[in-house]
Amino acid sequence: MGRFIARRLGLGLLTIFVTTIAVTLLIHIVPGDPVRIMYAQSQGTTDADIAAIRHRLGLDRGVFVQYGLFVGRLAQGDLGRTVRGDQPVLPLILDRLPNTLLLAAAAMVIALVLGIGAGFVSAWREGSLVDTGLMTTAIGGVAIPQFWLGLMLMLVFGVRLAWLPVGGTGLPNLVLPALTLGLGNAAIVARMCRAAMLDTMRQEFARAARARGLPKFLVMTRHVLRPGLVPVATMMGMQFAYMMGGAIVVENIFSWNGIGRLAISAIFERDYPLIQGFILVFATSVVVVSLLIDLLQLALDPRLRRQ
Amino acid sequence: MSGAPLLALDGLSIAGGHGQILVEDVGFAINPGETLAVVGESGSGKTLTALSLLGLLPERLRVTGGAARFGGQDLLRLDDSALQHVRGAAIGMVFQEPMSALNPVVTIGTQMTEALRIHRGLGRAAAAAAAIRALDLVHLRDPAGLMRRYPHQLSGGMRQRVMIAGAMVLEPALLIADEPTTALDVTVQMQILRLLAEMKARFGTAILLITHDMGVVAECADRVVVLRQGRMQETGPVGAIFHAPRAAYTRTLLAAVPRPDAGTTPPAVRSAAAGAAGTGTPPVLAIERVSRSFRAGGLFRRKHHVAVDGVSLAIAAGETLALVGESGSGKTTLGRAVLGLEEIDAGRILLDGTDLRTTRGAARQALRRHVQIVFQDPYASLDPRMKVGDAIAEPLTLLGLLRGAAARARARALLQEVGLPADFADRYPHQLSGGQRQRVAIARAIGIGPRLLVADEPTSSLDVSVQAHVLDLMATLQARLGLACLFISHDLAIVRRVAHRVAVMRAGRVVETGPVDAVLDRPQDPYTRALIAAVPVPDPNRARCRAGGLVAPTGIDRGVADAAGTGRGVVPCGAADPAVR
Amino acid sequence: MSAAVEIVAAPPREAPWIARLLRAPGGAIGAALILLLLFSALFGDALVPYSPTRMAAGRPLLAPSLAHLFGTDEFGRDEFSRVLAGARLTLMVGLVAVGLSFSAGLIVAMLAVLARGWRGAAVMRLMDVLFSFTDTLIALACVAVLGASLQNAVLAVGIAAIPFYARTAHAAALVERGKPYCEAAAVAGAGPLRLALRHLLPNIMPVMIVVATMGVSTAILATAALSFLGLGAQPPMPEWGLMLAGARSYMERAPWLMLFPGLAIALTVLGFNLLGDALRDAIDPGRRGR
Repeated sequence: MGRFIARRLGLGLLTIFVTTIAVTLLIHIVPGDPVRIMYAQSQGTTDADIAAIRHRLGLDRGVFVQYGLFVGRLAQGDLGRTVRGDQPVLPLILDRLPNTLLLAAAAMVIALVLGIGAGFVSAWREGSLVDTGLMTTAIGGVAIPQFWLGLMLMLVFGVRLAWLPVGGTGLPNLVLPALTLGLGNAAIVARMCRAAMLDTMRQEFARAARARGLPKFLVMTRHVLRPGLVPVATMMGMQFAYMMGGAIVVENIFSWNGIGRLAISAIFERDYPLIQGFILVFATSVVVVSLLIDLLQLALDPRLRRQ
Repeated sequence: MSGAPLLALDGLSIAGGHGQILVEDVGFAINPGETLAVVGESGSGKTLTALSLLGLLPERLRVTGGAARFGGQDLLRLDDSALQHVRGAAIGMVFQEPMSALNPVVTIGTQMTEALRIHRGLGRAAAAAAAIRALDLVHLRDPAGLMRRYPHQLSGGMRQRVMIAGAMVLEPALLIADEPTTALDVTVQMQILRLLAEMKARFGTAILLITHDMGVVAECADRVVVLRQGRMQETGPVGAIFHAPRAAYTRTLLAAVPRPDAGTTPPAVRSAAAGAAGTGTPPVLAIERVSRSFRAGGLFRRKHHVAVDGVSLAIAAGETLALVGESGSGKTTLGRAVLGLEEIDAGRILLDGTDLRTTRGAARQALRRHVQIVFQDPYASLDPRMKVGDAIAEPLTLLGLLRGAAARARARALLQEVGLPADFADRYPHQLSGGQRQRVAIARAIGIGPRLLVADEPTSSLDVSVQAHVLDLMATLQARLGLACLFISHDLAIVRRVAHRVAVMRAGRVVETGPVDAVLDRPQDPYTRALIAAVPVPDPNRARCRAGGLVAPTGIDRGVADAAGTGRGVVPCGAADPAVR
Repeated sequence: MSAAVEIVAAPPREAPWIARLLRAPGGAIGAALILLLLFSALFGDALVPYSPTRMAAGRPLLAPSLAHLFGTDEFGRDEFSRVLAGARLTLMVGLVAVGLSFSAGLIVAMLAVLARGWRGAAVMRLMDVLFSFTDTLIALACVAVLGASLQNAVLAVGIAAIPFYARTAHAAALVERGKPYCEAAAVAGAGPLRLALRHLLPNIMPVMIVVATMGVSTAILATAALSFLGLGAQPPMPEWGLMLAGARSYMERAPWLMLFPGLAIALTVLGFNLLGDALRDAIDPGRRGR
């Protein structure tokens, strides 16, 4: 158990470390002069201004010094100031982070509940019409682009039926974006859960459970679903990371006030300090949440708990 | 036997998904309290027959005819919910792989009690108490503590005991045991067979024993059914089957079984080896005080697991040395070290007097040519994407012996040498049967003219009748080519058949070594003695695991005593066993 | 039983994989969808009634009719012509991005396998780290650096998927390397390079081809999403993601503008997914019928 946690923790820390390096190097890979590109849109920026900004960002010094400066400031919770509006980056992002996490978590719940439910029913009735129907839906669900699904949901439930708000940030506003993000992933979970359960059903212990005379429901839940959930849990951490990635797109469709919207506008405006901050916070949240989800695996799979 | 049989199976036929007939017109009867063995090689339909009784056939397979009368019902006609009351309660089942027959994510306690709660309607506490009694009955120590454990924390033998306890907890009238000891070491196998006999004696349970091992049949069965490719070949009392077999197939099967006890048929090559041994030429392979250990455990508590511990051995040209031991004895690690696939921590491995470790580059490559291997699993030891001919030619071209057309021609010649048609060169491995693949592996190994052949359980995944052919081929080739052979095996019967000398390994050490007859007939070391005693003998007159009236019941008493002794006291290699900590 | 019996009794030959592939309903539908895409990509410009970028081919925002099968967009461009023209872009996007990540990932994995010891481990740990960033983040970072254009989006999506292919290939190669046939080859004198190229590569190729087929879907979806956000294809390109972004503003007046490009993406992705599924089943007999 200690080894399992230590390995996950180690990978997480390594990820954050690599992120800090990548983020420092980011500006240097930009073709041309990043400062001039950043301020290309604002008129009346003098050469003196640019030199000052360059100095403030530490771009006039060596890469190692820059990295040192970046990490030093990071340790004090300072990620610099935005190019547009000259605001501190970190509070700006942290202010919106809960919205993104809420959206991803809600979508995750939808994906798991619908996905595991559909996968279970499908595996139980393998080869039946229900199975075929559910799995056909799932194959379609995987293929539908999230942003298109979002637009269609918006059109039907927001515009035509006007049941739900199409934009903004709040609890009723959460429904459509969470569905958009959750449905496609539910299809992935359903396919995976069904495949894992069918694999488990062919294991000898499932047959042994039937040979003991257990009713089918007990066999399917205790001896098929539970072991079948182990591979599902293994990929849940990754699944959440993809939810966060998907949230960036969905937030922009539904004007959900999370870090994804912030990031896209930052990329448009070439606001590199904000982009840097976004990447760092995004990676860190993914690492932390994945780690928490990995702990769930310990509950599901006693083999990981061995010393 | 008087009275009605417990189970009367009549005219059972099973068809596969494409209508192919897998089992046809199989029938037999099991009387209360007797052991009926259903014997056959892979594909004989023996397991399908057993599964059909409980309605557990794999999907797409179906029963197309027959009746199985059991307690006034026809099992083959019952629907799933009616069968639920039979399964576990009236008919229990034990499976082949104790590793996979227990759910890895559910505690032993839950798996032991669930049948009690369903069939008897017991409450949690009452079910737990009954389960603990059952675990105690199969001689597992600390049964209450075991209830909270998970299967991966138990050794293979312990898991099989748990399976038996789980099957016996409702005291079924019939126990189906599907190859219950095939996956286990030989000493554990004997304990489990004795345990089954003990259960049979205590509860009067009839046993339907599915097996491929005539030794196990002779040890346990009262009556025997021989199956081949889904058809019954012969049925009768165990004595008649062994002493006066009627079906030709039964005779082939019996003839192919190597007997571990009587050293009556010395291998043809033995005389050749005797000459080489005495002439003072250096041995082909000399292993000198070789050790190898592995690190195990976490960051803070490093443990060293010593796989090979100061082993010294030598093999002369034309000689076969058998390396014998149970799983975890270090025999495979030692074999891999000889091949250079495993590093060694201490000692020397000399090939024709040259140390493998001190040579580098071309010299090592040249030495390598002299050692080749035949692996255990013929399905995995050939590259599935490489034609058989190319696989055989590969070592020839890599070592620069032959190229192009010459190498391909040599490959075809080698195929014929191992008894396969030359045009197999254009086939892929998946188009070959297991025995054929093992022949290809042998052709590939001998092609470059090695001095030493390492054979790692080369026949353990083959059917008995195929085994014999492959072993004969190896012996013939070895005699003709004067090969030294390191033959790694857990099977003493096969060792008797092929080896000149034998070295017995346990926990990384060689406990005894000597000429094969001397070691197997007059073992000096207590472990060797235990190992030999545990091997099932294909002679029903000497059976030790049969209960009931057919044979003088000395077997039971000894069985109970031994099982109690080993089960409670000693777990083999106890330190490595998590349940003992 | 004699030796001859054993020798003759070889397992029956199986039907060729392509037959198994097309016999599965999913495989046949997938192949048909991809053929349709291929046909549109190759002959689309010869078939379309209007140039996909020609403004005012009809009045703006016309509903679907015989003259304009899919209607017209806000500039009066023929939507049918634009959707058909998008097929070529989409196919190129998928193939280029996957070609990039597939080959780079395979090379990284093979180098990691060849460089046993800490170097190989370090490379793969780095791939683990990059993988846990998620491809979305990597793609966004790449676009942020390179600037918004379709070429850059394809490059970004291609780069972002490298860790995935590297990890998949590496894991498959490790499984194969642990099998006895690789040890047998080593005992026969095969060096690491020969082992990697002659034994590992051919044996991981089937699974990698399956993964790459499904990967085309992922690449198409990711690039379309970038274009939708304005970070990929730029107007007036007939790119399906970009067309959806444009259609958003006319959601109420011209919902059909949202329907057809989205449907085109979904069917393309469905085609590659179905084909990948069927390929996997055809190649791996153990999973057939699931």
